[in-house]
Amino acid sequence: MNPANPVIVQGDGKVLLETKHPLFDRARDFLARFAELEASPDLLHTYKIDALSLWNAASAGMTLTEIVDGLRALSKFDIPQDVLRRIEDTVGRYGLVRLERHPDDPRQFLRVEFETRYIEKTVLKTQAGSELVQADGKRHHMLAVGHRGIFKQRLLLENWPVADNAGFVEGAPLQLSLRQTMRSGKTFGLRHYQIEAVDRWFLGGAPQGGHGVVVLPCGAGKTVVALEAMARTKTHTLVVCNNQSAVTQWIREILDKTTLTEAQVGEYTGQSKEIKPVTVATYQVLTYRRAKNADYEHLHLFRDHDWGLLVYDEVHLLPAPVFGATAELQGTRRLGLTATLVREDGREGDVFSLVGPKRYDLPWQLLEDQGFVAEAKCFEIRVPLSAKDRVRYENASEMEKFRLASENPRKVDIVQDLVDRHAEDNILVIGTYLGQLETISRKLGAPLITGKTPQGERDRLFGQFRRGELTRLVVSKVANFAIDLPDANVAIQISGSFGSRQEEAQRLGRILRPKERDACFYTVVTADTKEQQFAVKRQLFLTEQGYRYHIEDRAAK
Amino acid sequence: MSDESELMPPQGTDGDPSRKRKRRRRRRKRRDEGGGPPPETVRASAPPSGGNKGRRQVLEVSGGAPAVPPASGRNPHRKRSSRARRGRPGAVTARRRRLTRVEMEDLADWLGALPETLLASLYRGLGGQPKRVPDAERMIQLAVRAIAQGSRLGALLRQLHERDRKALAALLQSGGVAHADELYRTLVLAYGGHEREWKKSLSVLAERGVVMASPRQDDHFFYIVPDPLVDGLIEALEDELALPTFDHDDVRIIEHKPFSPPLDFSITTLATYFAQHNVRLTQRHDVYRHDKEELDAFFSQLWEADGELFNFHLDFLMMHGMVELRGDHLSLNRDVMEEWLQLEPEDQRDLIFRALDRRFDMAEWVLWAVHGTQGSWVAERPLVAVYRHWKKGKDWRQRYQSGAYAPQRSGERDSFTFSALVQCGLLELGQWGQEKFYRLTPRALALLEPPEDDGFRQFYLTPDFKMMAPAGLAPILLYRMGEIADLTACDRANTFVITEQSIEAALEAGWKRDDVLQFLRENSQLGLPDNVEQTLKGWIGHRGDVEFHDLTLITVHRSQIRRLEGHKRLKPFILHRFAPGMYAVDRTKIDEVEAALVECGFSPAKEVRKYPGAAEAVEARQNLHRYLAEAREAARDPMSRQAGLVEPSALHAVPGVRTPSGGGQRSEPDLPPKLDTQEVRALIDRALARDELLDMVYLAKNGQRIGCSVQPQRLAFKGDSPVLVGLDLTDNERRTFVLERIERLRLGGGAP
Repeated sequence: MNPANPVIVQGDGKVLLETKHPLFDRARDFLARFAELEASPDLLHTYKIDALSLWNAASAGMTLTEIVDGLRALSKFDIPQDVLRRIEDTVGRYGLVRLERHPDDPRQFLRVEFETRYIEKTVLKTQAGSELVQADGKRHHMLAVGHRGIFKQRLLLENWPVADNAGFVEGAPLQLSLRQTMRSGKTFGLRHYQIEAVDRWFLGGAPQGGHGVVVLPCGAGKTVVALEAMARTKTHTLVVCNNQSAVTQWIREILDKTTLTEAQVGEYTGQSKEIKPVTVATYQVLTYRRAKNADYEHLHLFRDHDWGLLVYDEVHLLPAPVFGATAELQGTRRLGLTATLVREDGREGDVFSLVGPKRYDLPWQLLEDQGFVAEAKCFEIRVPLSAKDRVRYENASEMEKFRLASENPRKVDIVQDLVDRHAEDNILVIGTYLGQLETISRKLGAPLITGKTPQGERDRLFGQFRRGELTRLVVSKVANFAIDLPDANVAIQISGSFGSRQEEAQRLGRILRPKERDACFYTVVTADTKEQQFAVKRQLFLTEQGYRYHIEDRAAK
Repeated sequence: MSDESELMPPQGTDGDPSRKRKRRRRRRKRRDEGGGPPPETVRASAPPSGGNKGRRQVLEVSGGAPAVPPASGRNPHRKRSSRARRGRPGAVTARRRRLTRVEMEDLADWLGALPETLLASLYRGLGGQPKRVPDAERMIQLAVRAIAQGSRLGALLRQLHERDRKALAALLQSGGVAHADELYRTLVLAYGGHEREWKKSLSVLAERGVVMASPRQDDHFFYIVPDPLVDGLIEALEDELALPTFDHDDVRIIEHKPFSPPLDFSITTLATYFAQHNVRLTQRHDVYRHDKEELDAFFSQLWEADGELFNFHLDFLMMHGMVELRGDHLSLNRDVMEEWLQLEPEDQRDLIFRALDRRFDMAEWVLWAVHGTQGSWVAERPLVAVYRHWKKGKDWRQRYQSGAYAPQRSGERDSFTFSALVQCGLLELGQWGQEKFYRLTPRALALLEPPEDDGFRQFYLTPDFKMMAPAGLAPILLYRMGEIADLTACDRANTFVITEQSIEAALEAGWKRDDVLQFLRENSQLGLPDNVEQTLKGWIGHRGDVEFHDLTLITVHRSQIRRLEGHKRLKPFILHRFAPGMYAVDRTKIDEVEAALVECGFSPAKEVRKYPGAAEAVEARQNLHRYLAEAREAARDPMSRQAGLVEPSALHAVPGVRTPSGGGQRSEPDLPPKLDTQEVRALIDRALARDELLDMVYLAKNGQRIGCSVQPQRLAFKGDSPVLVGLDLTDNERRTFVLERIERLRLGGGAP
């Protein structure tokens, strides 16, 4: 026992790390390699050691001794025996089953290698093993190329993480490189962590690299990481992202920062169906089907072209059909990008087996310290209901109460106050209820973007905001994801979806792009209502992420 | 040869200066180690039982620190900082130094009462020649001097055969009293050999005067080590009494449990669990299966399902009434728990040891014995031998006292196992070859020698409302955390979550808003995060800022405060002291309180003052206040608004303006007459006799003259100066007045 150390390893695999400890940096860098950061509040960070995080570490070359010795050196108490056992079992399993290039018929088959005869027998007895693996002569086994993804996916469920060393098809070649000077005229260069992320993903072109996930916080430049990956692979690339605005943004970034021309970059969305050497599509269009039982009409996009690289933006949102398509495209290099690998549906295992292991993860605090993302302050402003509205609220059904609280008319004055307070800043007012947003839009004299706003109009308004011609914008849920508004530094959230953590993270992400001014994220809630109860969840989430959270109680005043 | 020279130790034995130096160094070292001198030692002298002879050369076997004899009933190891209830370690130091004059006189008395033959053999054993001493008195004088020197006993023992020393060691381990026949058999069991050989050894010891015997009954008797010799013998037999230790890399630890938090930590955690969870019992008083499964899962890091450790914890809580059966479920008795937490750490440990002793006789002594080996392994056999000696010794002492001299054969070959202590997580069991070994777990170590600061003094409070309490945190802090937050996990760091419900429960349990915030602020490593503070304030609001108290208030005249507060008869009735002279009593016991007051010479008022009084009076008071408010309003004269800004004393005459001289002289204050010391003394005597007050002018130390009225209580001396002790009625405080400094004095009428 050494109480002077910064780490406590709990019996359930959670690891607590004191952030004010002199060894914090060393411990954080060490833990990040094999444990998932669960919560990073101010004083104490919580990591979780689970099978996936250990396999991710093992796939990155981390050894059991390295993990155990490192933990022992940093821990206050002895490491729980069951945790040690679990680490040993889990790390030891990675790579016991391997997929290698078939020496005779690489186009049709992959060779399946087993570490020992015992493992061979055990794996072949599993359902996936018996159904998918075929004998290859007397001593070897092989797998049809098309089953590569599903085999890995199903074996992972049986706790046999497969090391995929079979390599990739090169795809159609494409000459491109990153510009030194962007089209906009500004100089451009990769940040050190972006280079590091691509290095870890690409592994110098080795068969072990070229697939996996890069985790970087909002505003840290994930798009640029993908552009560098494209420049390294020099092949036709399909980028899949979350919505139309993101597509526009991706295309703008590609054209701005690479040597590609408009003729080489296409958009595959509801509005346009171009297939070009670099094509940007949305998950929505790929998973579109006319009826519930009909086929997905556009999934063929994955197969119909000789793609050499697939980029999955916001990989934590990857829909199930895309997983299916990805399972068939295991011969193609894949790059997943996300700010948080935690999926609400718990399919992190599928991301691991089909897109690839986590290759790079960087805590946002580090980037904040280095000035790569803005320092954000979160405020919750509590507003009382008027006497009349309070009566309405108390008499409303449970279902209506949240909405009544969210649409509290007194919020409008608060928003006006905040806008006045940040007269020099670029402000986004984000909400859920259109009526309320329209009122605020009118009051502030700021344009409103909702789902009904035509794409052209949206792009125009976002463009004006980016150029500084507009400093206030009222937006609905459409702006939750993947909208790059680099100059926004104040977000005022006036209503939300029952304390959704993901929504909170995304809305906050809108203002995290680095800038000279501090980023402020205001949430206006109605005091002593259901909305305040949900706000506690949001508060927990943000503080878990390590953001400072201040509460201003206007009701008390 | 003179008498003294006869008693000089032989050269090269005890007189060896290097040995003396070593011993001095050893003593100094022990003193430096926190005043804990070496314990009274009864040491196992069994050889290490390695088992495999072929590998014996690789073993590292060494003598450990001494085991503590249970016979004394004192535990010199146990650190007791604030009380001396059970013999502080210092008591042992006393034995090590030369005897005081009183002790030597006691020893002389003891020897004087000894039969002359025994005295002579003891004197001979100490190196003297009884025949050359003129009389018994001189022999006693010389024997006392020799025993007081200490080294003489050492010299005596060094001349003995190893077997004799072992026999004496076993006798000392048994508490200095042993049934003769049974002792032979016990020695055979421990060290082998034949009974007749051991009988011979004891005869040798008896010849030297270090072992004596009880009267015989039917050819049975008890060996007895003379009490004044015990301490010296223990010191001299250090090596024989040491438990052999063992170290080897290949010792296999059976059921290694890396996490063993201090017992008070786990006990408090379990108590908190019971306070927050409804654990039901069946009619057979077993925990319901579902609840047991939940409980086992929750505490899986501490103990295994159905483990002895859990039973010990539960028994501990139930045996002391901290947890009790209410209806069909276990419930925490907060009052008792609170009481336990408020006990001194020493007392808490006493209770834990008591509970351990109930599960395993003399558990504490076993732990101390193993502790003496400084973390090395102790083989089972020598430990069992020592334990057997302790157990037999206990029995022999009882039988000696009750006069039961007949030998008893039962239980001699009892095989003792320490598995109960292993299962309770206090001993670690190791195996090497066929031999079993024991050593202390960190839990036992923390129990025996609680670290003064193990680095865990505060918990972690994070902005996401979680609190983490690392194992080792003070139990009271841990318990308080459980009062305001939900205990969600028990591990190396217990996890608590503050929720609105938990705060609600805390408020119901008597916490106040400021108390909650202050507790978190003071005990969290980095204080109270802003968002947590704001949210808690929101949850708590201003609830409980004003409290109602159901009680009867009694007030006492200031002159009677000390009397009332100091009265043993009245103390139990006082529930709370709001201020001096203002107390709360149980309103259902007003009659009892009144009777007690009368009995103690107080004269309680007949009427109970009521608030409000009569309805008319209330109305009249309200009217008065209304008039007063009106009057104040009316008094707000703009002309008078500046009044009070300037103190009159700060005003001066306008320069150049002649002021009229003041009229009339100020009258002299009415002072008591000036008296000399003798007159003062006479007057005080008179006041004391008549129970009268005294008015005086007293010259204080700082040169200030103080006029006061004093109720004299007694005359006393402070150094050489006579002083008056009395109650200064001006401040209602007891004071001492030096008679020489009383300048003026007179009688001031009857005391109130």
